Amino acid sequence: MKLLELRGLVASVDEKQILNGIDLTVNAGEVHAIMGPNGSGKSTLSNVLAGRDGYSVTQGEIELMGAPVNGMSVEERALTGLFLGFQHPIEIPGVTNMEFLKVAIDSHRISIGEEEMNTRDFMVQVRDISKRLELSTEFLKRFVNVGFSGGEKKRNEILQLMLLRPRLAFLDETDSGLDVDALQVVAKGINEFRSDDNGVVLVTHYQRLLNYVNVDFVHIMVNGAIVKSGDAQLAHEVEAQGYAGLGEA
Amino acid sequence: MADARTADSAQSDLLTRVFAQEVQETPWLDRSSSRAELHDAGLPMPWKGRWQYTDYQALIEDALMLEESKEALQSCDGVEVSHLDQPTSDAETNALNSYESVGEFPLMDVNGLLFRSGTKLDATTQTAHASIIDATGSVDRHLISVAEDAKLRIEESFQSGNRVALCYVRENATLEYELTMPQGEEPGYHCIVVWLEADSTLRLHLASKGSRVRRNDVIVNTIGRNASATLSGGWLVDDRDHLDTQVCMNHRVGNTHSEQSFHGVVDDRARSAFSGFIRIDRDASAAEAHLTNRNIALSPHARAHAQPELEIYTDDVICSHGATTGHLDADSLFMMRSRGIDEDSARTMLTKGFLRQVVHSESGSSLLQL
Repeated sequence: MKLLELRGLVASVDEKQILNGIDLTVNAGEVHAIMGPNGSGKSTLSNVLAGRDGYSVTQGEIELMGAPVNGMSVEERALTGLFLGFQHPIEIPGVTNMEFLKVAIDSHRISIGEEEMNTRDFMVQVRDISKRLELSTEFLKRFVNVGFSGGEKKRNEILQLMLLRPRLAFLDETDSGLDVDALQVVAKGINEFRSDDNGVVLVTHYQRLLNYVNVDFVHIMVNGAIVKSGDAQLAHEVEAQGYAGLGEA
Repeated sequence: MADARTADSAQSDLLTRVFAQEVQETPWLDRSSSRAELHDAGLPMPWKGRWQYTDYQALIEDALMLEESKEALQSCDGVEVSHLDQPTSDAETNALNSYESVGEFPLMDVNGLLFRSGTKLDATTQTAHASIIDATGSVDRHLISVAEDAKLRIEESFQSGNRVALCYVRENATLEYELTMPQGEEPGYHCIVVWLEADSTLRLHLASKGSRVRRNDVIVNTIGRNASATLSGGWLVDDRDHLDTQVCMNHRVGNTHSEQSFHGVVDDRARSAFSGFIRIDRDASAAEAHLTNRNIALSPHARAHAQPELEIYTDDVICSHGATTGHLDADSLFMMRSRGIDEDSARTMLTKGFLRQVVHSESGSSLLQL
């Protein structure tokens, strides 16, 4: 099943065109990596997909789970099955992680006609995921991302991913700012999440995350367009040659 | 000029009526300091300075109509109580009531002339507790004394009327004061004045909604070394309500410490005002004072005014102050929505989160529906 299809996507931020015609298809069971230098439009693509204010599609089409996203709000896209992993996870003072996670999971359940998750089941599930991500359950009582280290923030993103179980995870530089140990934990979370029913897109600068997560496709993005696509081998070429050599490809 | 004369004449008339209504039935209470202050200073210019956002004349008119005498002390423990409407020979009562002027707070002196009821509370133990409830329809005054080494916790609820609490915290004593103000219809004036002697501690926490007109004055004076004051709280003002909170933190001697943290939310067509004034006297070297006030306007028609002020008369101090007024954080809102949380729920969670950072007490949380 097609989870995501972009056809000739042109998009602008504050009326400045950043994405210059992107074609991409992600099917269930696939893991893609989008690699590119700073300023190539990777984060813009994430925000456009999520439907963030200020990011507008001027040409082309986006389909999520086979349906066009035109007119869908940020939360509707999330409830359809899109999960955006943040490059810089947001701190929310005054809202505990526990409260946030519970409202998020309940929003998903209610949208498919289920009842809110009972607190006991929720706690069992969250504690289990936290343990697998080597996160202390103490952090559930703390405000969302407030006072978390860089690694904890990224693991908190993966916790949300594993709890909400979206159809498509679009992870924007989830590997940035992580030491090797944290990187391995995050990679482990992604590997546990991936299945034949869902898809993952890893947006990254570097090849190093791909040492821990096997990808099916690699796309090179330069100046708001995908200039080259290939298999995992392409990531090694980037590592060896840099983006400059591929930009003209 | 014609307008100024009209205003002067209206104030003079109002003041004459206040003097005429001075309560005579309690001859054992000395009201001379209030009388002298009002006589000498008169009433300030309306809609200026500390009264820029609130109609004090409406509050005085309201006080002039409040003639009931109601019991406000609900319960207490470890506290000696005298009622001010009963004859007393206690010289200390009048000493406490004869406070020195703190300036620009005429409503406090209006209260001094018009109050008919109230209590004097003397806390002498480490576990003293008093609960003061709303006494709608009355002008009341409470004189609170926390003895050396004692600790008093006050929980107070106030909705409307006119009330002043004068608190003397003796050496090494602690006063914990929790004030909640539910939403009200009628005008309300509330004022707390605290004097902190050496090594004493004040922890004051407020949680407030608004009313048609509501003014809340907090005046803290550190008069002994190593005194410390922590003032915190939040407000949520909606409908067409009004809430004006003024805090004056006066560091009168050195080596004293104060910390203020207030968050306010305004919605609908409501208006809030906050003024946090910190004064460090010439003799108050090595004082440390910090103030933050953050406000969020949820509706384009709501108004939040914030004004931090510093007056420092000595060099050796550490001070910081800051006030902001804005909207809910767009990044946080986007992040929550990107997890499937609808916009209204996300806004509610963020608003509660914003207040929860400063409103910790149970009663405050339930008042603001956190």
